[in-house]
Amino acid sequence: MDKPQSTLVSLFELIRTRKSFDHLGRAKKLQLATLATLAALVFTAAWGAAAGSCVATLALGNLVKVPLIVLMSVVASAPLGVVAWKLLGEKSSAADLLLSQARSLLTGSLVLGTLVPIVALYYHSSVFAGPLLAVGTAGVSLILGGAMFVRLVRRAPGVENEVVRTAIPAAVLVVQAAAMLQLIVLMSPILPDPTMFNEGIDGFAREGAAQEKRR
Amino acid sequence: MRSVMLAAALLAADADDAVLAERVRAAQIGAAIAFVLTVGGLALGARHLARRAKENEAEELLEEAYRELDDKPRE
Repeated sequence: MDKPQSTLVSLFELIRTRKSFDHLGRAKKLQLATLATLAALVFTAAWGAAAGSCVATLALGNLVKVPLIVLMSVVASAPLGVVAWKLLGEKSSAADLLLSQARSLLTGSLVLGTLVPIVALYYHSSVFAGPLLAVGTAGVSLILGGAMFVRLVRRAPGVENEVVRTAIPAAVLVVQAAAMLQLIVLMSPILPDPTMFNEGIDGFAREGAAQEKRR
Repeated sequence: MRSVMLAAALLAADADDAVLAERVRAAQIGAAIAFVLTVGGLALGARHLARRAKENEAEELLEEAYRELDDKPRE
């Protein structure tokens, strides 16, 4: 394996949108994608522990639960992207798409990782701001990661059609969000307080029907 | 849209809680096993890919060296 220092440098280079890895071989691209995914799991675990830090068992459980939600949602959405990418592009490489997905995952989780101290601090010192901050940081990281994924895939070589290059990452993100929603149901509770995501799609359907009735 | 939301809400409300809890439990176990296998696969894959990448790099360097030797004018 590479030296730890060069691996760390590579990880930081991965989060730069302008940095291109097109010149690298397939094995190197997939290695970077794997390392980025594993690093992302560490950051999400740290965020999970901070978000559940009010209850010791929850914090310990979140060390596994949050990375599980993130990784399994990626695993659920990646096949769709790879198949579409290979079908719709003549010279497209699945390694490019997987590296883009891993890079965006790392960026999103790094946002969570950098906000760990503030999430833990607010959860311990405020009744209403803690949950808001936890859900807010998760939302921001999802938006940033998603935006980066679309941007990277649009620049990736292999697929010429502009519409296809936007539609594929968008479809992958929709599937990932759908998987994430139900994985949260499986792994609940993640935060000490109940959130709108605890019941997944059923909760949203009930809420939607209740709003329709009120009208 | 309204009828779809109401139908979804009715279906969600009528679901048998015990059956749903059982399914959720099975899904939790499945997800945990899949997670462990995926993380293990990623860790093993990272080692394997690092070796492959190094080999490719060495081959490329060798190719470049040979190319340079070929391009060099003979004295």
